[in-house]
Amino acid sequence: MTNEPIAPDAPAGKARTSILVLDDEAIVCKRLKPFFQKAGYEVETFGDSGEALARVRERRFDVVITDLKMEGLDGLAFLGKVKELHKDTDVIVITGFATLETSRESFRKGVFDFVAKPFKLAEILDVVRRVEKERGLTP
Amino acid sequence: MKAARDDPPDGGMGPGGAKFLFRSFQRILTLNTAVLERMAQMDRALGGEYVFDKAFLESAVRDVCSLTHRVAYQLNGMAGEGYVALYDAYLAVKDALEDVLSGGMGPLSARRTLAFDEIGWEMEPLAGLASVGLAVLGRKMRLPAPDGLAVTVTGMRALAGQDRGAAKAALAEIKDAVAALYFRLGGARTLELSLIAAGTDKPGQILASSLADSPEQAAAAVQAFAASSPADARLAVCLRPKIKGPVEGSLATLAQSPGLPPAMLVHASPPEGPPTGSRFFISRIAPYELVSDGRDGPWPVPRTAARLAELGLAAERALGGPCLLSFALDPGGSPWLTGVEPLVSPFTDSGEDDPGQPGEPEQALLAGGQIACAGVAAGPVVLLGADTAPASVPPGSVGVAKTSVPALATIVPRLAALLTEIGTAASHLATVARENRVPAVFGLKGATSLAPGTMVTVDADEPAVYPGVSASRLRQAASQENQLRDEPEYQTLRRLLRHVRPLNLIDPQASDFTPERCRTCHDIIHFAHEKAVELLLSIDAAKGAGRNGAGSPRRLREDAPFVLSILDMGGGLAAPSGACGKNRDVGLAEVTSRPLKAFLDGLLLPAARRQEPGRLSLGDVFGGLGRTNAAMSGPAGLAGLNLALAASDYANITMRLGYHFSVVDAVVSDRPEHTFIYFRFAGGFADGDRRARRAKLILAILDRLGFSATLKGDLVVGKRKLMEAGEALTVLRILGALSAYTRQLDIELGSDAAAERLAGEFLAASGLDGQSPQAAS
Repeated sequence: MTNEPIAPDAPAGKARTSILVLDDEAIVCKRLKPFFQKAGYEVETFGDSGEALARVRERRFDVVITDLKMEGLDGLAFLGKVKELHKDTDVIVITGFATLETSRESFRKGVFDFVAKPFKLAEILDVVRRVEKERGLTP
Repeated sequence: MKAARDDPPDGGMGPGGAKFLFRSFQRILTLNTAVLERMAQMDRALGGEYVFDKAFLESAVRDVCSLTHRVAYQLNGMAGEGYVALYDAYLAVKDALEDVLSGGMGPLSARRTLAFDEIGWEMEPLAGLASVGLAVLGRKMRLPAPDGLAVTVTGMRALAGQDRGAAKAALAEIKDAVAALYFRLGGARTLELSLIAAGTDKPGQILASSLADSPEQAAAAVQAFAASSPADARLAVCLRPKIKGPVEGSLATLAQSPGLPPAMLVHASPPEGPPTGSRFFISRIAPYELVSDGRDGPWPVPRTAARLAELGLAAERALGGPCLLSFALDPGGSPWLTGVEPLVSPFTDSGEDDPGQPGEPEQALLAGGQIACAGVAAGPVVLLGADTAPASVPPGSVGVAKTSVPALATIVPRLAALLTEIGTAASHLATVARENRVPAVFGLKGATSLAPGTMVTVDADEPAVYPGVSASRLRQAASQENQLRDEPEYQTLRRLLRHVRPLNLIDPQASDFTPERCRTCHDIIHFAHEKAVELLLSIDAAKGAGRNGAGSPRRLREDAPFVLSILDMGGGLAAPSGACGKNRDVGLAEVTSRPLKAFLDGLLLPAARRQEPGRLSLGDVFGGLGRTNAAMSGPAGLAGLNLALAASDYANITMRLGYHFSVVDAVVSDRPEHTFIYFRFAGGFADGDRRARRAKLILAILDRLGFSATLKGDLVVGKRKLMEAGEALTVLRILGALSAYTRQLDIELGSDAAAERLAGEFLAASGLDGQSPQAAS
């Protein structure tokens, strides 16, 4: 896990939307973390689903962004655990291997949306902003 | 629709038939676009626009290889397997890409030393960037870089390991390799040795340097490098002769500094001089002038600086990204490349706030649009239009245009950043911005409302535009770029792109424009495209109308200056009307081929026809006899046949006007990168002087139309590529009018003055006197 500094663009005195990113490809976490921080979010990143799950047990995140295909607990199972623990956490799945079956299963488990890899930073930011809008997290 | 009785049984679809060639050509165009799009996606991923993982790299390589192979296959289908060597070139590129993906060091991984002649790009993990860079630039690209050798990662491991026998063998091999180098150089020299990081940690960086004057000293110096390094480090050594001269220095091929456009930064000093010598910026745009001279010094000589800049850009293109080159001037003052390293940061130290520290929240002036090229840059706003002369744009400006028209491409290299209100990241201009690493945002609403002269910072990563120079954003972007550069996926992607993106074969007329010289996927698809166009141009009108062609041509019934028959290749003509489609003549309104319609619009303009009677002398008649002989001896009924092959977006028009022979070949697509126009004009029933004047007149008009045109004897060949459809149609209308205008023009070309007058008349009538065809449209 990595700790994050105060985001530069966060309005003073307002709680920032919290995001957990889980992907066993380190490059994905390294790209998403500074990007979301720069955009004013509170971000924690994990490369191991077990560690990420332990963190989710400790605290609630507004948004979870997870890869689908991982060693150990895969993205679908992680999605299920997160929704069990925090029904109001919205989960975004990022994957390069989405099949009809996995999509159906993800939506059954309550995924908010899919983003196919490779993706643009603006695309995933748009999905997070939709979550904020639907949850009333934006001013 | 029932086929006409004289249609060939295979409808022209058999190998060599006009329709077959055209369909194959269309497939090559489509496949080329797919390769270029995949290539652009890889390029944009490297530029930071996409978040990607290893799976993306694998699928990108798989797609690019498969598409490139299909391009080679289609071309060989068109050419009757005339370019089978293109398959070999493809397999070599594919093997290299697969080796990069597997993290392998290639087939020579057991070798302890490698002469530069044996080294290629794919061997960077084995030989280190410096050796690979100098070997490729010097041995393969024939740039001024010394011969040399590499002690490989395998060799360094042998020296650092516990096996004393292996270490001894490695030392002996190094001595032998240095002796062989001396033999190639013609004698013993002082050697420069550089220890290179060849693993994933800071790859390519030079970690230590040394000098040696004999094979024994060289072996001892390499052994000392191995002894002082961690046993598990992945290292290589580059050995090359030291270039002795009056000046040494470094060249960063990309340097960003507030208030300047992306430039090249040179540090130079005498070999024994103080560490701080001259420091100056050279423009990345020809003629590579100095844009800012930071400190006084005894150098540079502008001509040498320009030569150095050319070498830098050539190296950058070959490496696939900005780099830091070492150089030395030889006693004659000519620059030699002596070292290659990755560029740590393009941002120069301006002594402002700390890197990475965020400042106060800033309010964006504008936000939104598409990222055409990621990055951050600052500069004063300059409004651009299609007619803006590049020289009028101050280097380092933030260019702002209404639309992303390709005409702006020549201005892009002068810009710090580019904004347009209309346009997409897939446009040609976006590709140009990425090639020049100019941060660009397209489709940004309100961009043209920025006041000219206002200093702004463009953060294309967001994308947004901020007031003033945001030093923290500039530095944060540089810092992030540095972090990404060291990530394994980015290193792999960069290495992959070296075998995919560079275009080495540029001139189709050059003797080395051959399949054997194709070294990248881009080379292969470009070669195939050029050769496919050549094959289309060679479609014979007689063949086209005969048994092997596409079917029976239909005659244009308009009042044309000559009889023109049209073969429909698909979507080029409306279906014949009348009972059983018997009414086979066509009017202009039934021509549905966009390029042919535009050409005919111009050809049929009554104003384009010369009204003055020709004055034909006996000399003219005799001069033309030899040329008409071939046409007169052709098959009965076909001599002088004017034929157009037409599809919805394509036209190939062959005009044999008795004495002239013209070919127009054009694709007009909504994608500028697909659009091209070829124009060829030859022959003439006049004496040599008049033919030459007419050829020069046509050349002048083609130049004004933006063609890249050449003249050999009285053969004029012009090419134009990359246009918006509207501009291409305007050009074709003008070419149609030119064909009518010059039909018997050479008879009037009694003097150079007459030629100038006629050219002026035509340009004025076309609205081209003093403006571009785009403006004329």
